[in-house]
Amino acid sequence: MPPKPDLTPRPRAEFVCDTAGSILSIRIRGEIDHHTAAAIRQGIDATLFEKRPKTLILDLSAVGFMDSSGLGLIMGRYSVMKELGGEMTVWNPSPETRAILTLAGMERLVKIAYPQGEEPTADGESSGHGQPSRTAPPRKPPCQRVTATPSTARTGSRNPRNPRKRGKNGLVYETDPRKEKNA
Amino acid sequence: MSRTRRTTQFSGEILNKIQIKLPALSVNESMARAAVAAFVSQLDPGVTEIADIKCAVSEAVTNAIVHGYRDTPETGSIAITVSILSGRAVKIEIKDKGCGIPDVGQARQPLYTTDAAGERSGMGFTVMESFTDALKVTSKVGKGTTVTMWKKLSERGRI
Ligand SMILES: Nc1ncnc2c1ncn2[C@@H]1O[C@H](COP(=O)(O)OP(=O)(O)O)[C@@H](O)[C@H]1O
Ligand SMILES: [Mg+2]
Repeated sequence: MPPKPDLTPRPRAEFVCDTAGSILSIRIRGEIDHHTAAAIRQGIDATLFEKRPKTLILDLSAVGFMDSSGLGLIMGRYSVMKELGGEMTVWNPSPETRAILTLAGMERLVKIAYPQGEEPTADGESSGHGQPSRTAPPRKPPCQRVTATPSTARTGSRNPRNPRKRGKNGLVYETDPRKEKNA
Repeated sequence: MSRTRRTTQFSGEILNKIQIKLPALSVNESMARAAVAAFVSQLDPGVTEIADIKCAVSEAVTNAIVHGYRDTPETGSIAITVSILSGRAVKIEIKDKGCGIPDVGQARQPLYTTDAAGERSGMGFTVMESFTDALKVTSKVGKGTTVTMWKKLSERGRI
């Protein structure tokens, strides 16, 4: 039988994550709505419970659209990080996501940080277009890519059994943390 | 603040109108907001205005899918009507025939949600209200919900 044509729609959202020491940074790309949020959430939680980072950096710089489902996604990951005894930061939210973050008063719940010199001014515009500063989360090799297509989404296991490698502090490293000094 | 006063300022005549009917599937959320944005773009709206409209539409359509038809085994249907009114105003109506809302006033409160387990934030109506100029919600338990939003676009001198 000839193979069935792949009619899976191109994913509208995906994320890439990167570990450096006890910091896990996750960069979401695409549109965050109710449809895409479910798979992003499952994928992130699976990673969080596997790696148990002290700090989660949620990079929203490549998010082109976000509605209140994104607020739920952030609030939910905040709770997970609290459960894990860690903290989280929303990193460099794109102009498309800032209005809703402000409306929700998200800065009262989580830290929202920007690269130096790129903090938005009162009118909502970025003050400069400089290079990302040293405080930017690592953008090195992706350790996992999860798309928001339900069939390919990982189910969130809250109890990962087989960590691959353990570092000194008991954290699981995907990349060698010693090479990630700037993170 | 009276809601009726806010909606009566949008009494302009209808210049153009589209109707979209779509199955209540979450995959259609992005299509719905994109279609409304494409239709409204004939008014040459600003970037922020179009972003606000997309977000507000996404909220209303998502609510119909997540809440309106939560107990309906078959896929429900959502009707979207977008009208361009004289005076650079847009009227967007999003209608479902789902379960309805018993207490609309309570549902509109920020952070109120009946689906915390689904990681809803309870901010949908707050977004619709903040990103448009007027919001009307009519609902009847067992019959369905109609959300109507109006937005006046800034002057850009095209229409
Ligand atoms: N179309 C609808 N049909 C039935 N119930 C609705 C509808 N829209 C909203 N609701 C109710 O109003 C509540 C608040 O809606 P909203 O502000 O969008 O928050 P959320 O969707 O995050 O719960 C919902 O939790 C739901 O109970
Ligand atoms: Mg909602």
